Amino acid sequence: MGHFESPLREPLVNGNKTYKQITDDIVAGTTGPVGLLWLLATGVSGLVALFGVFCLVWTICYGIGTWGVNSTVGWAWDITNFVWWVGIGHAGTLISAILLLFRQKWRTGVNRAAEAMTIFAVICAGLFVMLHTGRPWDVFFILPYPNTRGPLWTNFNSPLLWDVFAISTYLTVSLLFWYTGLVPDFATIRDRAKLGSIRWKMYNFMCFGWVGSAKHWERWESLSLILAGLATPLVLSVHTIVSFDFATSIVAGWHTTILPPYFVAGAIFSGFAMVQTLMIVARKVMKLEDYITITHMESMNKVILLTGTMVGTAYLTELFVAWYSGSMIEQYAFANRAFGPYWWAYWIMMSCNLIFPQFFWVKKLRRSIYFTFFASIIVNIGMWFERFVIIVTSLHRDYLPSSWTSYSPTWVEIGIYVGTMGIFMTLFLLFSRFFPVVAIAEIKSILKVSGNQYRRDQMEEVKEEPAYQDADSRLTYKID
Amino acid sequence: MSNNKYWQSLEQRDETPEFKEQAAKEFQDEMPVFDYVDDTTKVESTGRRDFLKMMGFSISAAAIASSCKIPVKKAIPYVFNLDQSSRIPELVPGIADYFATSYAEGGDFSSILVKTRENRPIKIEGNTAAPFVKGGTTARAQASVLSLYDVARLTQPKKKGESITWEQADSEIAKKLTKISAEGGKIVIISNTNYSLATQKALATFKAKYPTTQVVTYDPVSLYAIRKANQITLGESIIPTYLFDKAKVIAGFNCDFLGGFVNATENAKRYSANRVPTKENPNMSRHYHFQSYVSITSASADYKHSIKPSQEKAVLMALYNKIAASTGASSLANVTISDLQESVNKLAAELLANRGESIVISGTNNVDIQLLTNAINAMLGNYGSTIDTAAALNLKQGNDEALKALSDDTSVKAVLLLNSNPVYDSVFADKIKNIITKAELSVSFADRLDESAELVQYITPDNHYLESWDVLEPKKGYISFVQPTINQLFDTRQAFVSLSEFAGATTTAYDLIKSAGEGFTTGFIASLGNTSWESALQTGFINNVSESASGSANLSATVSAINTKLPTSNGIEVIFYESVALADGKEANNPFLQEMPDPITRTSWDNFIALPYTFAINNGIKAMSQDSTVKTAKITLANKEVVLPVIISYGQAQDTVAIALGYGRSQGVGPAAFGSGQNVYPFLTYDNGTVSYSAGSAAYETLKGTHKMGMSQRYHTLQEDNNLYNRPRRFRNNIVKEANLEQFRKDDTAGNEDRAKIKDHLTTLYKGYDSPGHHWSMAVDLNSCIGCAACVISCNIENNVPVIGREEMSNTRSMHWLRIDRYYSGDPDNPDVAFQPLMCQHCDNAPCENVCPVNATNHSSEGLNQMAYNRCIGTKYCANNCPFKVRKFNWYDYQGNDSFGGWNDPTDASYMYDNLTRMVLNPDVTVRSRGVIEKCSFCVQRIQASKLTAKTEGRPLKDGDVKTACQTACPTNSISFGDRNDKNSEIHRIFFDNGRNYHLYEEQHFMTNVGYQVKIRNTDEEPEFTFVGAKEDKA
Repeated sequence: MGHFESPLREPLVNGNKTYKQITDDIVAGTTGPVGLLWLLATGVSGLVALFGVFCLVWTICYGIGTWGVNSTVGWAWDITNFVWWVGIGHAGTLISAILLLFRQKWRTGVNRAAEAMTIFAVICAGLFVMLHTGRPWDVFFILPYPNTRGPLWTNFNSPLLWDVFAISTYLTVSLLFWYTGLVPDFATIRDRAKLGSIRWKMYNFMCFGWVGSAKHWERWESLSLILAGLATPLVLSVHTIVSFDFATSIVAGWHTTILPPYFVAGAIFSGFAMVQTLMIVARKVMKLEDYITITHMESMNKVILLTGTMVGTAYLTELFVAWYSGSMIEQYAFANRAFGPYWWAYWIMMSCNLIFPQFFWVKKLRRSIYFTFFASIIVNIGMWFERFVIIVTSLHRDYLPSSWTSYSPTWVEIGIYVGTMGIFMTLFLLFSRFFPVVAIAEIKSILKVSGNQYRRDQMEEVKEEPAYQDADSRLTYKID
Repeated sequence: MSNNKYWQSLEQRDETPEFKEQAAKEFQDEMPVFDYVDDTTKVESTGRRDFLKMMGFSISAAAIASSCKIPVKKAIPYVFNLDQSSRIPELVPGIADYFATSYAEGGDFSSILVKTRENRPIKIEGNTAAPFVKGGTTARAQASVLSLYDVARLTQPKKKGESITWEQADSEIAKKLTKISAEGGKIVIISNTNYSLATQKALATFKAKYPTTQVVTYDPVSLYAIRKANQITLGESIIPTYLFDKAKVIAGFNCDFLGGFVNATENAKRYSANRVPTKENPNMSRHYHFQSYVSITSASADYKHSIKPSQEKAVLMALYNKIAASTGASSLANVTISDLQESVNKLAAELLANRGESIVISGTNNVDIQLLTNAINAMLGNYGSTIDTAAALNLKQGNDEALKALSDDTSVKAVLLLNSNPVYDSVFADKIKNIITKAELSVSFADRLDESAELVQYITPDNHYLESWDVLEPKKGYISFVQPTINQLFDTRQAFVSLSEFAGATTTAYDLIKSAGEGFTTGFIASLGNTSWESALQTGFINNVSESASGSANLSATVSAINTKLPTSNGIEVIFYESVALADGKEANNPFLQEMPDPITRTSWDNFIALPYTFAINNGIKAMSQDSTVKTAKITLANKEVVLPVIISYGQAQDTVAIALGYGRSQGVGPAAFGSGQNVYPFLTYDNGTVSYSAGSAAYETLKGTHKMGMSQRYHTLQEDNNLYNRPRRFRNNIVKEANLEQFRKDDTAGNEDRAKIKDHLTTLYKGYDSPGHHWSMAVDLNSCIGCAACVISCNIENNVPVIGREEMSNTRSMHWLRIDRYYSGDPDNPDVAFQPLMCQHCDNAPCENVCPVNATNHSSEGLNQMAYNRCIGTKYCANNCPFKVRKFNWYDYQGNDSFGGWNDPTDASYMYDNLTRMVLNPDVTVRSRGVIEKCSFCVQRIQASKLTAKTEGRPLKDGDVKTACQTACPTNSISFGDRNDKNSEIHRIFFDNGRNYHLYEEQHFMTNVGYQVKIRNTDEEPEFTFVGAKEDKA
């Protein structure tokens, strides 16, 4: 990884870190007494998660009748939440896979947490896939396994089946990728633990007895690259397939060819927003400001601006296509979205996803922690509403006006949604306590290219060269 | 006695040592016990340790084996009593038996066939052999089979709440009656209309024994005025048969002759016969209707006008004068009816042009109004041509004056309530309540603890009609039999047997009707010729009604009897009407009927205040509600008030409101009836010899409170609601296609012109499904559909459709496989109405099929879209992708499935949970579990049954062999079903030769197997689809 990088680029590791310091800083999160704040946060998240589990059990006991869905609106918060969570997961894969292939060094600061987020989000999403069915105990029918039911076999024409494959592949690959990255870091933690202690044994088990030999490193690098290669198409495919659930149907507002790219962009958009939300808190609490710098945040904000604009363009394109199609049903679906009973959801979506990210054209806002945090929340609200708008407003008024109804959630649905947030946060908090939140090995690999003291030395070296005569004035950052 | 010894073998004879040894042993071979005992303990004899080991093992094995709970399976044994009253020669499990019997309730009568499976009645079908109707029933008749299995039925006689034996009841009641009779005390039998010959015979016996007996007949919804007016016009107190099929112009005045009134099934059949124009015969009757509230009859009319009840007389007088001017009859006092005069002129002109081929009919229980219609009909010469007075109806014989007299009678010593519930549904409820509580003896024959039965001393519960014998004469010259289709479920007894028993004549129902039969059939038996009693019973009826109509009227007597004083109109007028589902409320505890959406307002489980549109908007009521929460309002009338939810009924006359009767029952009536709506019978008034079903000077007040209403349709028009001010709204006029008769005469594809172009564009890249054998298809004629919902209930019963209750209906989770959508167009204050029955369209290119991940819904080679319930995991994806929203999801465990334990429907709609109630389930149709999708199957069980019959008979299936449940119930033949591959089938003709046939969203290439036929209105104006009120609905 140690190729040349322009000295004008901002360093990605600050604080004159040495390798030891990096290890110290990051492992510190997993050692020492448990903080009160962490306990409190985990306790609250755990309670919320338990309430979610209660609502899930309630649903299984009584049936989906406990939700607000009806004969016309068959999917609502369940699938909205599913798509939302899957979308959130996308940033992790994008960062770890595509950015790895593109050799974007800034990814090293955030990839570990983003990948963890992916996995936890997919777990939450998976819950909805299982539980939106009327008979979750029979959900295994969806798997094409040899059975005694004669000619009954899964329907390979159904996008929902593709979904099952897509999501399960996604979870598997993401999990492997994440874990592979963790192996050398587990070894590092193990090496710092007292030999033979439970802690030592645990991490030793988890790192598969990693000793850091050259062969290990070589294999590890190769595996990472292979997994990155495998994961890359998944970034595009998973949400494309999720969008097929809608795009291949005949429901006006769902049935559009623009959905796959629009969904992928939307997923990355919301995923990065979630990474921002989590990392802004984590870097502060876990004192990782030197590793997750403003530069990282700015890079991610740029992605948010790009994808947000793509999503917004898709919204406008949809409106155009609906008008241009000449199809009465199609035109009404979009008129109803914007001005029908759920107009407020549509305009929340529009303002959060299309209008709000445009603030990121301003560099000052891009680099503002508070604004970024605020924006990341807004984006996630917007993206939730996007899915709600697509699902509920398309369904509630379709072909036959006699069947037009409305939808509002019940406490059970709200409980499950909030509960998945609790599950997600609980898992993330556990992760932040027991796992290294920043990839130690990977961040070390960029230290000597992107560490601030090396950048300073590099500047000293090139200062006299004609190309860097006026380097100081072109610097966008301050070397300390 | 010989001493011979028989030996079994030579060894035995010879008594070999081997034989002796064997004979001494209990088992031939050594028990292999010691194979399982280890060597160290293996000794010659069983040691102590081994004994203990074995004992320990046996005890624990026995304990384990006996402690395993073996599930108790309940089975219905094929045990039946082959006595005289159970006339089942043999019973083949799995094969249905049909019995001819009759359904009679209120103004509704049908000769029916009852389908029984393993001795359980499970379905009602119209008797296709019966004259006049030839199949087809009302929704209530369809639902009545469920009432048999009603958990609220009384299971034995009661005395003041305590169960007693029949012997005790008979002796005590007879003793009291004898005493009262001996003292000359008055005995009153209060009965609803009774045209049972057996009951009449029993009553005669009773009267002979107790001469102080008086029978008072009343009807909750009375038509006494018709009989009274006919006494003047025809000299006979009758209700004639109206031959709507012979009428070219029909003028209805507040008369719901298709849904309520009297004899609705026959009326509907006759009416629809003349309402379907074809290419060869492009004619149909023209129907004018002057209405105060919207009934299914007014909804079917071509021209409808909103009038207040108080205006009806004036309008009829104006019509009379207009016609009298042309026919030369004496005219009545001049009336001004301002804006309606033009319509009346138009109607008068058409009536005059169709003399003898028209009907003027009013359902208002007012003698003057009835006399006016009689006079108009007489002037037009309709008596004897479209009004058959010879075939007089015996339905609705209630005598309002007799009831009035009774209510003022203070000398009543004994009251017997025969098939009546006067404390609930009579106009003199309070006074009769007084009579009952003061009487020395009060007896009710009610089958449940209804409002009157609560007050009586003795309840001697009557059988359900499906357990009964009877002979009915619903129409002069027409006899219809009632025979039991199941042994009595409970210790109940038919009312006429009880009456005989009280009179000391011990008899059985069968003997009584046989003897009644001998008496009454002297005329009929003779006319039967060679037909035996048994074969008459098997046919179900004896018909001696002449096909040709007869009758003549005395016009001058009629006209001179008319009191021309016009009623004054002040304030808000309230109309009390019979709803299509519950009618007078007798079957209020039938959950199928409670859940049946009202054809007009599409609400269920409650009655409501029907408000006119403009009036409602002015009172701050939202026309389009986002959810099922509606406002409530208070109606105050003569110091009585009622609070009910308000529903806008488009077409309700301005400054009037309408409320359905039959709701607001007491707890004893049953769980479905209790808590549903409010009772408005107390608002009825007795006015000048008749009961009045409308009243003026009411006060209306919208309340703050709200009510969650069972609503099946929240959006009422085909007009898009784009919420944009001042923007033109568009109309989805491809869903219900309409044209007027003139357009149809010019072009038989009128209203359907776009179909040719659509068909040209139908191409696909994909290989469709082949249907090489049968290709089942259905056609629905929107022209003859009157929205009566008989098909809906028939489908419910046939297919075990669950009942879900008010809360779930308000959550718009109706499970009905077949629903009737209702759309309005035109002026919201007086709109045109279109009904569209909607069931699974069985698309050949079905959107639901390719999205199911587990192949639970798939396509058959016969064009059916089928469901494998057990394969369904309930993703609801198919339901979302269904453009017609006919796929229904089992949100809760509605059927009380045992495997869900106590985790059933938390909304407590447990109407189908009882084992007794579940006896109604059709064993040929799977009961669906929670969490699966279900939908119309085109009655695939019937298709299979017909195929099997054809196969065993060794013949190909022919058109008409398969009839779906909705089709058989339809009284107007709107639904056709068959194999479209069969070139000679009716469905083939409709699909390929009928210019009116179209398919829903055909341009989307769903290739539906259900066709609809364009609705033709017999109006001079072309249909319009707009639905914009004078005020934009932004309230």
